[in-house]
Amino acid sequence: MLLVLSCAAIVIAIAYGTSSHRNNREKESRALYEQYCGNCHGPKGEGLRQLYPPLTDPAWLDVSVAACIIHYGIQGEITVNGQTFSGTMPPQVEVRPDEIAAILSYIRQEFLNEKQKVTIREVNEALQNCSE
Amino acid sequence: MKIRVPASSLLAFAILFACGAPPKNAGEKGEKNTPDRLPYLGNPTIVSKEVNGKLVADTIPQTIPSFRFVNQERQEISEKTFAGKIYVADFFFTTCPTICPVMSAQLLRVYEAFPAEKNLLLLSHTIDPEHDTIPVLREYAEKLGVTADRWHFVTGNRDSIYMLSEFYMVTAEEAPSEPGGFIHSGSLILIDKNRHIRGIYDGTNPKEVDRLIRDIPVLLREP
Repeated sequence: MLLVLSCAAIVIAIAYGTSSHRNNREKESRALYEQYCGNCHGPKGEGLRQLYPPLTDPAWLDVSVAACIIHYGIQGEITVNGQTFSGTMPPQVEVRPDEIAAILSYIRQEFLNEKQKVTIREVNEALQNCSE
Repeated sequence: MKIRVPASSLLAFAILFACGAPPKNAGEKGEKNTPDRLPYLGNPTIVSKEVNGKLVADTIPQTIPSFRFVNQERQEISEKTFAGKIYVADFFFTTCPTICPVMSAQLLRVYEAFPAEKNLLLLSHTIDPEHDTIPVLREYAEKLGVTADRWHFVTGNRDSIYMLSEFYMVTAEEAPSEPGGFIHSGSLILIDKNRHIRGIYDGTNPKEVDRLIRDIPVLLREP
């Protein structure tokens, strides 16, 4: 009986530990998104009219494209979800590759329902291959 | 004799009670929070005036002084533009990466809440007139989808804008070390027909903007 109880306690502890670890990472990712992206692109990635594009177009959210935009910024005319935007997003060189990975994982999870996490390695590879 | 009640039903009752009661109270409280009359904010001035040949003290609430700017349609905007109307003012700049987009999104809610109200205007002052020229402000307003008959985006003499911001009780200053190069508070300020301050709201907090949207009809009803 004691054995069963202690086993159950361990299982619960492990489950709780993993889930709280995951919750913390999700909280951190959300905080990074809110700090660097959410002011303009909105808490739900909805964008703001024609001023700021939504973050719901998969074509712009591939790590190879999005990591470069976060790091180097972007300007000129672009088409997002079939709508034209023209403006300037400033470069954010202070955002580290691990933070970019967390932000992109968050955006893809929350707004595209894409469970696969973006890794730091993928971000570093992307940043080495950004076009001018 | 004992009455046996399944624990689960007790729990269900407790949850029902706990969850059922508060929203109703909160709703009633929320309605009570909207006052019949809005306060006068800022620093009043005591002046003496003559009544029936006697000098008596009179209190004048803080008043927004006269001003003259140009809006996104190149129209001259002054206190006369707002004669007989109430308005919501804020201070921003178009390249602001921090709180301004949130303020614009929230002010857009106010704009959309009163589509047919001719006695309510919105007034956004740029604190970066060097960059935010008339065409830049015009493009910003167009992209936001708002028009100058209800929402003025104004620019003008830099010092006049900064000086005026103090009368609106908004801090605005250049800060090269900050993202975007300026710091300023994100307040939305509600001004009455006599240019007195009747409400100050945090323009980055949707709940505060809900309060502003509830307060506007109260001020509109004032004679």
